[in-house]
Amino acid sequence: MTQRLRVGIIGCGEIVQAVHRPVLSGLAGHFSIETCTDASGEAAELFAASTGARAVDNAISLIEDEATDVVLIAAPDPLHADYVIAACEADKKGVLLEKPLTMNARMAREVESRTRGSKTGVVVGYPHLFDPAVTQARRLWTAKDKVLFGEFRTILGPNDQFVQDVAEILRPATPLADIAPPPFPYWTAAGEIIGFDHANDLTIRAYNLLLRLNIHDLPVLRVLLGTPDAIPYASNFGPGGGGLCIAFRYGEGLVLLNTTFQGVREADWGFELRSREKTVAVRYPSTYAFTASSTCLLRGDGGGAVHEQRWCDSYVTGFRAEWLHLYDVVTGGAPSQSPVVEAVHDLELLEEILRVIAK
Amino acid sequence: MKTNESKQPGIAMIGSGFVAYLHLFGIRSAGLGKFTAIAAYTQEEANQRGRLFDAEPYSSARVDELLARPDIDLVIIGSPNKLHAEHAALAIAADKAILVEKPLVLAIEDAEQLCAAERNGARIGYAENHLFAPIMIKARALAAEGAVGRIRRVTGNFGNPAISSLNWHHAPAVAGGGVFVDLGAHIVPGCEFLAGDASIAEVTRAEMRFDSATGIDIEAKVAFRTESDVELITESMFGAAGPGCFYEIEGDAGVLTAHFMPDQELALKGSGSEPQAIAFPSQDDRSLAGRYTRSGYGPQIAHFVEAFASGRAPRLSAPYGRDTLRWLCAGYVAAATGRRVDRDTAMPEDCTPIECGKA
Repeated sequence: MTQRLRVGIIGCGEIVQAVHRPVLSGLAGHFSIETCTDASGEAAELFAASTGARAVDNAISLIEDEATDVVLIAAPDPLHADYVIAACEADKKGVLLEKPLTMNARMAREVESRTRGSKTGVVVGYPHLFDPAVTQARRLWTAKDKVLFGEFRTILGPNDQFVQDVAEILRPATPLADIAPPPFPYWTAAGEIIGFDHANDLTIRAYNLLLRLNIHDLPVLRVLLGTPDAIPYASNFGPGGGGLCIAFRYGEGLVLLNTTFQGVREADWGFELRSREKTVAVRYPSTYAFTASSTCLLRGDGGGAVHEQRWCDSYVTGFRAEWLHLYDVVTGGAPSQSPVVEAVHDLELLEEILRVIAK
Repeated sequence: MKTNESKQPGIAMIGSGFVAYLHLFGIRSAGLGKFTAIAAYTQEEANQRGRLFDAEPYSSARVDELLARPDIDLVIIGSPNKLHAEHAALAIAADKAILVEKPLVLAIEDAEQLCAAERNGARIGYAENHLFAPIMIKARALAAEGAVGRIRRVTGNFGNPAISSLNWHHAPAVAGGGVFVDLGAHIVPGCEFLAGDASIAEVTRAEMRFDSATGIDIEAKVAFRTESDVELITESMFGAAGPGCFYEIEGDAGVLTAHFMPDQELALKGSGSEPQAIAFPSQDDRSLAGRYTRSGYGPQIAHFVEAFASGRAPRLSAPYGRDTLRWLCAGYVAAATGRRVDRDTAMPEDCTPIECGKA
């Protein structure tokens, strides 16, 4: 008989309501949402009423609750480190931690050292890393493939429109007024990386884009190509510095990571890697599209002609795959494919990029 | 035993709210001092702030352990107002130099005790960032040079949006008052500073509007007269559309306007002429270092660190904090009685400012 894991959810905001709730509903044989909490008690009660979960006063109580087997940490980024450490110290069976692991590499190394050896299975939630198209790309692009040119593209339309398509978000009538304005933790962490002399509107914007958006791309880049040899160029562009262009050097090859936003409701999100012999490309659907498959494409020589193969029949999203993986980690003892130690390297790469931008 | 072997002074903070960020930013902007430890009400909050600030965390129950550390040279007292007296006394007993956030304490008798401690060798600084901001120093210098002719009136206006009902500023017993204690504490000394060398002689009139639910003042207009007969008008408000603060120095030959926040701008308007922008140090520095130089937090911590290290008396110390507290108390008395309040007016010495108005 399948073991059903009881999930406690920290943070009942948009990503949980629009993505994790439906994914968990679709995996009812594996998981049940048991408890939830939010900085806004009203938000927690609303979410509890919509799921049958029990609202708990605060995150630490939820973590310590015996009715919680695994914890989904979807609280604001500055709190991720505290809660993943607390969950490991409470010997929870598992944690799915929404990206990013934490705010910078120093904090990430602290999390790694505090959670090393823990019995808790931690999966850092990078849905693209678990996307079936990326899994296919990892089969097609092997360690011996030398990249000649590549491009990761993150060109996104208005996020709220994508969300509106799939979910009605329950919001508390009384918004929670933070004592500290939200940017302050981000200034603190970015300023620590590049120094207060170099932290300005543009570099902090770049930090926010890297930490909250491009952090999806960095682990995929690393599992396919490894750590880059150098970052010869990285810069903001566009109105308010809302775009990013980053160049990674791999041997003689170059890989770009381009990010920008547009008014058109289109998600042009994916990557293409070219070697002398082949091209492997992946395109993701919108984060919130549950029935649109990602695609993986392989182009190469086949008997004197260009041969193309396409995989686009998977309706398992990266989010569903990461939950299923967490289930295997907890119940089957599988090693986490997205462990804390790898997320430390992602944040170290993020810091290198930011330092180049600051120069 | 941790000792401070670096040349950077070790700085600790008691208090973990909004102002903790501002002092951290000041320290990082000034590029001197190591933010070593932080104490918060709960260990959980201390852990969170400590991790983000790269500082050792202590709960308020463990303040004595923090103060026992030999690697801490300066302790910033930024706890809720009611606790300033207790935390200042503990830090002085531990032979630490202290920098106390406004208001110095909540009762005049406690302020007198700190003045006595200072006379007995305690190293006490009073934090008023407005008085260290380059725009204020430039405006005062221009006014002193006669840029507006003979100074007639100085106005200070400070408004913040409504504060969260969870904030301790809503509790008169903890905060000691409402907007006049919170924001008036900045603009009363700010106006006095801009008016020149003469000190405040009396409160001439005061009007306050109180929130019926919490009992705190949410709007205060308090006028003063200096010894050189300059009128100071302070206007403070909770419930403004956004945070904003400006000062205006009116003389018989023109007006000097210093927009303090959110953006800073200094302009001189002579009689019958168009306003002329005046440059001031750090004006064009768009970095966080520039921002927190302009706010005064960077120069402020640099001043106190240097003063305490060299054994020189700081610009603002316990007597300055006591005098400011007396004028805050006097404002509430004037609002309640409709009468002028001068230095000789008897006021209860064991009451908070808002209680003085009711006594």
